[in-house]
Amino acid sequence: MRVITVCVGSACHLKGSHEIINYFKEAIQQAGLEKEVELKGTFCMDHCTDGANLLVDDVLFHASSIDDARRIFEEEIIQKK
Amino acid sequence: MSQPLFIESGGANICKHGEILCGDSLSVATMDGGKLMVLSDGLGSGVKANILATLTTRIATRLMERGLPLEEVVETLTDTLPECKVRKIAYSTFTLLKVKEDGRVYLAEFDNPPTFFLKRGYISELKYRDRLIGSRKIREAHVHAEAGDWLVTVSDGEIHAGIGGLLNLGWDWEKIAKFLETQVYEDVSAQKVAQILVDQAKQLYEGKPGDDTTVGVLKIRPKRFASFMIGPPVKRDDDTAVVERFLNLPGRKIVSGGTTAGILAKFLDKDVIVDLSTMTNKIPPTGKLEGVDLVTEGVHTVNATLEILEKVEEVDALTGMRDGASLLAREFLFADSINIFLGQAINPAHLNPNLPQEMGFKSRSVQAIAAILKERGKEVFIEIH
Ligand code: FES
Repeated sequence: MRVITVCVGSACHLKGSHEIINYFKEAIQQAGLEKEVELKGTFCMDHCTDGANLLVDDVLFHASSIDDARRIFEEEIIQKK
Repeated sequence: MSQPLFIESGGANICKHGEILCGDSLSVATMDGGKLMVLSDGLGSGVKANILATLTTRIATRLMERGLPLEEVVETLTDTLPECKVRKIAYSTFTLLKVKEDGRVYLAEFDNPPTFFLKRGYISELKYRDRLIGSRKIREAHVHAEAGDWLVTVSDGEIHAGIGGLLNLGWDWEKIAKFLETQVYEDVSAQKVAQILVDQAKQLYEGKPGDDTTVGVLKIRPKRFASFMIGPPVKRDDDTAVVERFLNLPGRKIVSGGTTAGILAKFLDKDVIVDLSTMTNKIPPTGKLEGVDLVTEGVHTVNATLEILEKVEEVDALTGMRDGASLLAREFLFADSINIFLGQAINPAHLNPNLPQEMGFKSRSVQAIAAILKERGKEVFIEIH
């Protein structure tokens, strides 16, 4: 089981974590990976200035846009299936 | 120690058909450790009655608040009320109800229908003593109320509802008493019961009330406490002491802010689980933490809660809403007494010039929320750490 954890803390929220979560929700569904990838939220991860922050398993990523999120999803989830 | 009580009040009225002003007056005041309710029915109807009744409730409330004895209240009323030119009397009825948070009830009535006292859902008889003050015969009673008890006072318009029309002799006291027994239960508010009684009377009057009709309701129930922690203490060494005290207070526990929730989670040795299903595009999701009743994000949620509280006064208006700000507003509206732990440690990351300034303005919103809640008659204590 892979886990994507998106920060929903105050700063990351401002930087679009809401849209990023919605993107991942859809992406997981479209790839038919509901059973393999879990989407979670977390409050502030103490990297506010770099946000929006997210973890793929234990690795920290920053996504300033949906495009970033898409790239992360491609590289970290799809390609490492 | 027995559980602290809260005296919840509600009131409603309708005017006599064709009148714009109600000739009854109902006033509710919060006194230290209790509530004071005064109901007065002025002689006649319309403007004159309204003035008499309003003066009566105002004067009585002021004097009772200052702790003056009943004799003085009655004498002052007699001396102050303007005399009716036609009838040559200065007259208005009154019911004074003083309920302390320890359950002591003092009741004085002059020419108003007897107060309904409901104990555990059933009408219970009040033992009155008559007392003559000047030329007026006043009925007084002392009782002890507990959580689950209700006191309901009505003007005679309520008792006469339907007279000569739908009901031959009007609704009468006994019938209202029986009706009340079917209406008072734990989950219904004092305001709701007052409204039901007045609506019922209006129906009996077939929409054209023959008299001003006023209802005042006091519901005695356990006091609802909530403690709200937002922001970490400036001195990190204080964390444990503050958290311990927070958790030991009675009532609901609410935490806002990721870092603050983290401090609690560490203390409780549990994890904060974010519930993504509660997220909206404006408000970040809420979290779950065992031992705490509600966890929300900080600044955005609190700002949105303030906006809600500026508009909404009744908990019921937020039924079904699941976002963090609505849930937080519900907690505040539901509680009678709120302890706010406002931590002022600044998240260094929030000072970054790349983040909007509003990130730093949490405490201003918290203070504004506290002011609104106080204005609505709630007890609010703010501790700054
Ligand atoms: S809010 Fe996301 S890292 Fe601080």
